[in-house]
Amino acid sequence: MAPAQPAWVIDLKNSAGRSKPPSSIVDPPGYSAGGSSKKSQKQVTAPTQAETDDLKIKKAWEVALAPAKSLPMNMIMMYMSGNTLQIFSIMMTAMLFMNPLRALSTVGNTFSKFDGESTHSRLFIVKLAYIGLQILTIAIGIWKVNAMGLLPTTRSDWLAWEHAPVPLETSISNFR
Amino acid sequence: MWMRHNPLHYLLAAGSLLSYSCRAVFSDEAFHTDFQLQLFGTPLDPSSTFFHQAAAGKAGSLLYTLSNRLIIGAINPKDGSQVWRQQLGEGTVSETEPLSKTAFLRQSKDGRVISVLSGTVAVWDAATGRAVWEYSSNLEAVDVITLHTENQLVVAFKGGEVKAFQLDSGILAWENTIGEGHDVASNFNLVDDRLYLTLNTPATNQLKTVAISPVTGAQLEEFNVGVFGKSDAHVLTPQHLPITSYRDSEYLKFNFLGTKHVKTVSIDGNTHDYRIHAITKDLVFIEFWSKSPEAPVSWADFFSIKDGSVTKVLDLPYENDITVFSLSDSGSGLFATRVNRAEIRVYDTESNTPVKVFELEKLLPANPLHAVAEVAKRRDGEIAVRVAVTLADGNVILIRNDAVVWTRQEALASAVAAEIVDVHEAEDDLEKALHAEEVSNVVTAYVKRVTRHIQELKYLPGWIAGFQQSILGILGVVDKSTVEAAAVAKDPFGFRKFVVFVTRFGWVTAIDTANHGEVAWTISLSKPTLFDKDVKGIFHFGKGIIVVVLSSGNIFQIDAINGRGMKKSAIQILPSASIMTVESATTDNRWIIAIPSKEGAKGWFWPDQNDRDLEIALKQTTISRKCEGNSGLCGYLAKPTAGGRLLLTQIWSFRLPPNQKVVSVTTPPAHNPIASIGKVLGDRSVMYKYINPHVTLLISAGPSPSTITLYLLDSVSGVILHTSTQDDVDTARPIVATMAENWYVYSYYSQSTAKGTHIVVTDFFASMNKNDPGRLAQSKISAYDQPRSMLPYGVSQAFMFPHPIAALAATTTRQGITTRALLLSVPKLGSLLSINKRVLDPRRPVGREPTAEEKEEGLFKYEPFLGVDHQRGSLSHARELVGIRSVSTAPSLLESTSIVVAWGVDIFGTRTSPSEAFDVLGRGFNKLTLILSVVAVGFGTMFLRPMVRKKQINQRWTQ
Repeated sequence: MAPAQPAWVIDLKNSAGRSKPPSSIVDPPGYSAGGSSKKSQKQVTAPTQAETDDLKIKKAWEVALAPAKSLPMNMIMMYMSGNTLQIFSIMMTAMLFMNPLRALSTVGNTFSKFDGESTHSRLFIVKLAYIGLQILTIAIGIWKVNAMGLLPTTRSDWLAWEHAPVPLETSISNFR
Repeated sequence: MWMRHNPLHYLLAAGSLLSYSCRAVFSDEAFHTDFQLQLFGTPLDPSSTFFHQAAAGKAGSLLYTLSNRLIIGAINPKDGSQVWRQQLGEGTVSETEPLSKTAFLRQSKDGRVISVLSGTVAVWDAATGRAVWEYSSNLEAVDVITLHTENQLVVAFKGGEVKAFQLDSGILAWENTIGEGHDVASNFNLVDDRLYLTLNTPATNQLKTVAISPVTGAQLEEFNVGVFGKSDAHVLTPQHLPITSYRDSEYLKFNFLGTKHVKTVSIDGNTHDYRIHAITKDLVFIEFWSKSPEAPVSWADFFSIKDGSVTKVLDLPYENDITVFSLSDSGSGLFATRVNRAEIRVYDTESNTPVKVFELEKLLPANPLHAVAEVAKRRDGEIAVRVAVTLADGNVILIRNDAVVWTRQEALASAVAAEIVDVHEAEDDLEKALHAEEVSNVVTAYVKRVTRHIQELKYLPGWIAGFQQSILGILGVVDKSTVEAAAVAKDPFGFRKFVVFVTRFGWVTAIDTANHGEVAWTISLSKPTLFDKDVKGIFHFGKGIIVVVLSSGNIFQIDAINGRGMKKSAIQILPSASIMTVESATTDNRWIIAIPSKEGAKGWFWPDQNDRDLEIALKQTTISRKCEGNSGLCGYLAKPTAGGRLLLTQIWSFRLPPNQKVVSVTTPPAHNPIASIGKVLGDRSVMYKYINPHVTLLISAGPSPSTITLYLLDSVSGVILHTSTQDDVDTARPIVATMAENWYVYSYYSQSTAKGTHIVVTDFFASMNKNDPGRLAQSKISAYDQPRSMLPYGVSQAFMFPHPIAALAATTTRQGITTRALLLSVPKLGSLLSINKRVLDPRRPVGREPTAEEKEEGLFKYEPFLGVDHQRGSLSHARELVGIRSVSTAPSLLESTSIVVAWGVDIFGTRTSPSEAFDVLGRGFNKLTLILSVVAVGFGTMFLRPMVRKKQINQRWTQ
């Protein structure tokens, strides 16, 4: 048995289904129910498919190139934050990896609103540019990590896994 | 031994890097984690050991002695503590043979003692041990006499020279030479204000006594006493007797000074030796003994000297036992004290039955060698005695009446060889069990582990009890010392090692490093004396067993934990043979092998069993030793044959040029782990270390008298890996070296323009190029495959040090991650110093500031002068160490900590953390605060949690 609903709930629900009461009140002067009177009066021609596509692609390019704007800022920030292992530089570097990776995993989603039958092929290059820029951001991150000495690029990084060779012979001695 | 690499090591190493500039000893650790046995050495002879008034008019006397290590000093007879000590003839104490010089200690007037070593006479303040004055000559002193009225000290020298010095200032009062230096002086007596010097002329066999005026030194009279035959010998006669004595095999002859009259006393043919005691002018006490070890006999006679005749007045009975006598007069009559292992008897001069017998509570640990006694007779006739006895095991004990008051372990000052034994190794099966689990399959491993855990449950009650103790200790409820004692017994960090010494007196003694150097056990080898050459070696034979091998071929197996003698056996070996141990790689078997120096001779192995295993163990093993005649080093291959013999094939030899001779041979320590095979440079490239477990450093003197040459050899193939020479070396002074990892360090005294002690360090790398592993790139390397291009690349640097160095060693830790420190024994300072290997880095930039990369590597500008950093570099801090000649190190279970034991005369033990104790909490860590804060936070949480919950719920409701 469902509990008895409070009165306000019933009111709320019912109000949705309620029809607008017939208005006996006259609209104020200058009010037009159909929106702006000027526009409504103009002849609105629906955009062509090609125009829409162009627009979509244009918008898509805007989205794709957005990371490029933050690249210089990222570079400067990374340069300024120094190569020491501190919580800020680590966090910033981590963000430098996290954001592009997240973006890369949702490339389809990001461009889905621009996607369509006709734009699909043209969107490919846009996505490519987007991915390229994200990779560029990651590259900055890698550069930063390398500068911090966290990449095993040098011989010393592998030294811990290098073993001294096993001598084939043994020797015992006493020189007293 | 190669450690597997673990990235964790590098983390630890990084930690060790951060804490580079550390203090060697923290003030709360000093005198707590370290210990020192302040030793004198065994008293040399009874005439140089005596009770004497420390200062005029002061009641109570101190025990003065001169030891076989040429140390004089005063011991408080009440508790056996050291009052003061001084070393005679600095640096010459490490006599490996019986003492060849004359050395004695004499009492002077109250408050002064006089020491003589060869030609050096020194007067010391008896209370403080300060030198009053010293006179040195190249003559050999025979005896000294204090003239109380003139306040002078008269010294007679062997050639007949007599010199008198003012006792207080050392100013020469007079001097005279008796017999124009052709004679040999022996006894020097003072009788009735006349000095008498006994001399014999070797050319004419004449024995004469010469009377000398103590005021002017003028020769007053000369008496021709008679013939001093070829077989005659001088006998040390107490100075205040009016006689001089000498002997042949049958007779003891007394000459009355100032006359030509000689009286002979026949000596029992059984007599091995005798000793003359006297306190007054008219009574001579002669102690006799026969020293066949099977049937020792001892007795003593009293003779009275009256009107030119010597008559026996009393004889103390023969006894088939080793007994020693002491004659004493402490104001209440003359008493002779007789000491054997079981009792002390006091005789007076009236009868040959003792006036008092003290049965000792416990048999003495060894037979007495000699004794000095003080006998006091109280008013009620009760007799009390105090005897300082030197025992045959080299120790000194003081007995009051029937009880041993104290024992000083003086035998340890005469240690011939030492070995550090890990106490845990014998009982520690855990590692093996874990290894067994690792290699077996999952099911059996699981079963093994569960059974092991069930078995370990038996330790649980003990653990709980201990835990309770330690909690109480933290809270300060229980006495701190008991907690510490419990910690010592538990020894979780492996600080407990037994250092096993073989002493010159034929005893083996172990001391406990965790228990302030207390003697853990001691056992006799039933050898009266051992010298350096008599001990072939002391070896750790696995499972807590120590093996001592003597030159005679005797092998003693001793349980290192409880000191029980396990097995005694003997093999027929040549005295020149070198002894080594061989370990089987597959089984637990071990052998002792003896390699003779004579070419073509066969070797021996012991025990004579499992020769198949031994053959396998020796298959790829090169045995190296010094060649015959000390001319170089030789390497052999050995194959066991029947009868415990080894067939030897010489496979290489390295002979020095004829104008060079071996100074020393150094090998890396047995435990020499290398955590990282390369050195990371500032630009993160790697210089690979030259890693070779078979290196041997041979230092030779020559070809010119002031040159030393260093050869680094591979002891498997005999290949010369590296050579270098040093010019302007004072080869008469000690040249010491040590090696570890991929480097060696040596020290010598340089006569060049940079005069002084030099320390030279050489690091070896696999290649001179960065990132070039050289031989290390292979997974297996053979010592025979070492082309010229693969020879090590050595980098050297020299440093100047202000003091001569007597011994060098390097610290060693369990895994070799911790930076090494070099330990230097500096006798001039009486200190054991520690220098971090980072300071002794040959790659330090010379003449310029280090670049950023070099800084990152930890290098700093090279300074040629290494000062003594007393604050950070001294392990012995305020202690004064005497006669250190060897430093041994051993790892503890803590990676940061190395155990150090320095020995020679004193024994000093400590723990050192060259990279600071990064893996253990210091003593200053307040556990109580930590526990209290945890408890407080816990309580806080308990109270706050319901409050916060309530508040949150309320907040939701009010929304």
